[in-house]
Amino acid sequence: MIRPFIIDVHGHIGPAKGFRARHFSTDDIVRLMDATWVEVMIFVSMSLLSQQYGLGYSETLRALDRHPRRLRAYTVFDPAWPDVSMRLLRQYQDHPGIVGIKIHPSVHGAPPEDTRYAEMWDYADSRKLPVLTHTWAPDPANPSQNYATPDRFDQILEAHPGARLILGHCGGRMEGHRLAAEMLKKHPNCWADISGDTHSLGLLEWLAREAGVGKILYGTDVNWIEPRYHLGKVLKAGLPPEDKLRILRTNALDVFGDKLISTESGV
Amino acid sequence: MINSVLELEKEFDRRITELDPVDIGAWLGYPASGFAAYSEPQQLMEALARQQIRQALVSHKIGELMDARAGNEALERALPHMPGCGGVMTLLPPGTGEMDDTAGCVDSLLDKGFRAARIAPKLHRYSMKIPAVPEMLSTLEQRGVPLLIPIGQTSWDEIAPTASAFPRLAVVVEGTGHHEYLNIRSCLTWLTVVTNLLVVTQGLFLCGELELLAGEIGEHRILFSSNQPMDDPAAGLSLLAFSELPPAARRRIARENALHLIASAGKGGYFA
Repeated sequence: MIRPFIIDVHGHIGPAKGFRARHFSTDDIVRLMDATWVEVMIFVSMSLLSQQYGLGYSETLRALDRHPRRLRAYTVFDPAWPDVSMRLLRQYQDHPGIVGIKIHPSVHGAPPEDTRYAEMWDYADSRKLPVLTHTWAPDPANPSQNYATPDRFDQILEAHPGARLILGHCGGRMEGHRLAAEMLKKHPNCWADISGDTHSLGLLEWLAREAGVGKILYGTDVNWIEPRYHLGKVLKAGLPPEDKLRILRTNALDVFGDKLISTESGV
Repeated sequence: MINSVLELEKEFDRRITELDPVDIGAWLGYPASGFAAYSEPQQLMEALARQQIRQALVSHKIGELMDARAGNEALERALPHMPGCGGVMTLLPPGTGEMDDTAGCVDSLLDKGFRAARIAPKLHRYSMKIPAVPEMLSTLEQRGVPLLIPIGQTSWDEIAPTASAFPRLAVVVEGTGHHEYLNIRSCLTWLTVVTNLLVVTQGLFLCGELELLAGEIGEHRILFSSNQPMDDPAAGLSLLAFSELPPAARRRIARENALHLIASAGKGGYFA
């Protein structure tokens, strides 16, 4: 029997307005983690991304209490409510289960260089915190995605070397992948996760060649996106097993450090 | 810990061997973009062998991205070099002087090893509402030839009413998670009402969507499709291999439905 050993750095809990989520309770999520050999998932509450801060943090803390060895969480910085979200972020960031900050420039309608993010970037820099951001390719059909293209983070990464930035979805589509690889090559404090709905044949091998396998993190975007697609992509990638283990687990340990794995887990 | 990776790889391979999948979504030719292409039949055959896929329905990117007739001709030349594979013809609506004899075209290509048809209304600049579409779909229905259409080339509100007028025609909607992004509310309600709509495993992006659809519409209406080489076939295979569905349902989706789709083409069709 294979014990869960994978670390998923990009997950969600809770319902979403846009679709019927089949797995949205924390118990559903953990059952799905068991079925896909995920030991630890780092999630963000959907409520927090939807400006429902009280509900979001209570959901987050309840989930962490219920599954203290399996779940970790992100706080959320929202430029629409910079003072409120920054105050709550500071309040909860030291919780033992909270390991980073999530931003979503597309959903929140503000690019990461907007001055409202400045305090959050300084905070992440000084605390050496991981920040997971949604990224995507330039998309004329969906202009809000232009707020989250990987190249927008170039100067931010330069100015905040302590912050550890994860480019969620690795830029989303082909042009975004190219821009993400440029950021990964240029900045030692930048990584990318493979979450989302892009499953291009050859992407993982290309990214490993371009940016180095140490820059690739396993992510799924569960409970939005079906996670079993991602597992097979890594298992069957044209990479040595040692590199697959780095993607599936050890790179995440390098980025997030000791708070990720409970010593009680026996790992 | 490295042993966990190796054991999981073995477990993946073991489950695929058991499923013996048939892929109805393999492509020849260069995609519009990407990291991989099967420009020659031999490349596709080698890839299928690596994936433990012995049978497939193959489409050609020329037919989608350039010219339908040229795509069919390219595929016609390739099929003799692809044992175990059937062709997917690309159709254009009659009445434009390009492919006016739909019946003649379909019959001819059936004789040459084609087993399904596809259309690309948005790329080929027409809508499902033009008067020629019913004639085209009626021809396919009469011959029992399934129709493949990516959801990005239409919409649920367009394809579902169209398909309902041809209840014996198997209309296979591809990439249901693309374009109509995670649109399970439209997808599921239309699929419930229009029972000759089928879906493929490619693009079932919503978490748990495979199990949801199998429970709501039945596994007999879901078929394995890799969409390779645009998508990584390991992704779709992994969805099936690690699905929570019972083994019989997984095998039906991975293999048996496709075999029936292929065998019934030109012989009464999927619902005969």
